[in-house]
Amino acid sequence: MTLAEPALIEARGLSTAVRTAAGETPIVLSLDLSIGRGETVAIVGESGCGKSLAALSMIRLLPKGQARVTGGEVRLDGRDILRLREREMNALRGRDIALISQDPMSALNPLMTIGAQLYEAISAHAALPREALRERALELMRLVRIPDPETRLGEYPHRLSGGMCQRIVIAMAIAGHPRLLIADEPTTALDVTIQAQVLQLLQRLKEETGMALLIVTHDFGVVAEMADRVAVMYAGRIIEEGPVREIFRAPRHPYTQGLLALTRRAPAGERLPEIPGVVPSYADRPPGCAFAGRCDRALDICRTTAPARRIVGRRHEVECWFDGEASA
Amino acid sequence: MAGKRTLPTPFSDPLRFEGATRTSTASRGLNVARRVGLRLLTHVLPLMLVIITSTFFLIHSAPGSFVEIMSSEMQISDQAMIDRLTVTYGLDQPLWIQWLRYLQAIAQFDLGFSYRQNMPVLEAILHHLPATLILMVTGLLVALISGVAAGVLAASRPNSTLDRVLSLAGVFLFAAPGFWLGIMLIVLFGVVLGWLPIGDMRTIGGDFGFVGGVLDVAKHLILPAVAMGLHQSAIYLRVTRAAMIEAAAADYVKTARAKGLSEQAVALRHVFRNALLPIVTVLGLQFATVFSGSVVVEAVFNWPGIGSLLYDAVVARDYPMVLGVIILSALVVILVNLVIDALYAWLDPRIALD
Repeated sequence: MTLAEPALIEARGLSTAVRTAAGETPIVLSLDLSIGRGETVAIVGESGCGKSLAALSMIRLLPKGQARVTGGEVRLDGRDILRLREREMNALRGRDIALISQDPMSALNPLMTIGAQLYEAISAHAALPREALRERALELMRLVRIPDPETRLGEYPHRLSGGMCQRIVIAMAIAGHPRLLIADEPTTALDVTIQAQVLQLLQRLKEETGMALLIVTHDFGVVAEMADRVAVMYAGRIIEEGPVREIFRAPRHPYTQGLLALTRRAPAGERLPEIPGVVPSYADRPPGCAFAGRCDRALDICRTTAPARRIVGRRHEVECWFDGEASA
Repeated sequence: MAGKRTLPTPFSDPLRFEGATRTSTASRGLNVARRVGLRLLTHVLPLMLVIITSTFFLIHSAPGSFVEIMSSEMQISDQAMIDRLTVTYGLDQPLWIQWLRYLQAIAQFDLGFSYRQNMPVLEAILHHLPATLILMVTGLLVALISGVAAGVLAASRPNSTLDRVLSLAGVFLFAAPGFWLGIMLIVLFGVVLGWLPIGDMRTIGGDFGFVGGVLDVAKHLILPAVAMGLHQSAIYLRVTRAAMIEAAAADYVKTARAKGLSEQAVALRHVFRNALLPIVTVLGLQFATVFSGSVVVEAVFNWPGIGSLLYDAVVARDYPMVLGVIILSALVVILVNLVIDALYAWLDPRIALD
């Protein structure tokens, strides 16, 4: 993919805040992210860094009354979907942008059969006669490798395993031929053996349908396996972004370097390595770089002035004052 | 891509029309029916035995027999006659013999004879039962419809002014005793405005034919049913509001919205349907309360139901009548809860009725 080709979806200055007892706390701070057609982008970061809220903002499914977008724009085909009315947004959800959420067991309505929920997803965007609806549902279930789909149609979610539920959720998500599938921690709630299967499934579906994928994860293993490009998030901002190979080969931000170092060495019997310190809350954030307090290479300027985004390689950008290639 | 936009209902599963599943839904229904039958034997019968026995001994442990009350009311001083009455009604026998005889009679659907009403107890109860059931069911419907509607409305905008006003009204109605609400309604609509009758079930001496008669009863029914229903509706408001808010935050609602469903479809098929479960639970629990609550409302509105019968029987130590009313009420409440359990199992596929 070349830089000249327009992105499928592009967030500019996207900010979201969470409502608390004391008012609103900003969580996502002016985030820029673009995803090309058929591209797989991963947002990676610790829990609480705002990666899920950023992704949910792009399909406008933030928890009602608890979080809201406070600024910026998200352009799909050039129009800002944050300004669409709810009706127009509904026409777009499932058809242009679809979502898979974290816990497959609670992502399905316990009172409706698998079939009913699949039919709902299919008929939300296409008026089909009953027989065609059933055919399409069976086709989708075969696509996500559900064994014995005819029987499953009439069953309720509690009779299915977590992995099976996630396959159903994926089948529902691709029912409307979306151009972008947002997967919010798609494997976190699953057994390790099932995780690999679900990732393989997503990869295959992506190749077959040509849709773009936005994967939200805290797992660099998932990133390495799936993503073309990765955005590392820390305390509400993307602090480094670039092609996966590039990031793995030469991470520039000390935080990225720290995260990667953790995933690489796992010596048996030793205490698990960690990055010292904690993520600062919004109120405690220093005026400069949010990571300065935990960074072993922090300079004076890091604490006073926020670093600007710099281009350090082909599509590789970083927000850090430090300017030496992993030399320290 | 406007597609078809049929109006969604909570139960408009596309699947319910569909071949493969029709059988499974039907077999689930059959299963429920068989289990209800089994439950009748294993749960309802023993429970009724316990209720009959405990009520029987409790009532006989109260001082004063009905022969004493009757003889004093009717100024009978002839000891020979009192003795004869005692023997006639079997009161000379030991209590456990009386108990066995009572059980034996009940097994033959004989609840005894009421000297007060001068007719068999069962006949007197069946004569008054329809009035009470009409009042109860109407009152419950008023409570359920107004409470659930207000709860859904309140939950649609949590912490808004509308929500606060509705919740406050709910607390007020629940704190106000049912009889007081009744009296206030009588004063407003019966006396000041004169729109509705202030009591009784029918216009005395009125003859309006069948349709006119039904309308006449309906007119008399409005105030007591509203008095009873409004008091109860506060509970449904609270439960519905909480259940709707909880269900709306569930992951499957996010999934449903991600499909691109309309707000309506999400609210009805996903949120409301899941919120129904706690509402049904409360409905079952409330039924007994409504039954006893109707006694008071019946008294306020001079409604010719079981309530007046029971009150009269207690004052007169009309034991067979008191026992009969209690047993039949218990039976009604138990059966209703059985239906609620079945309803619950039907609504929620995760619950097996066993």
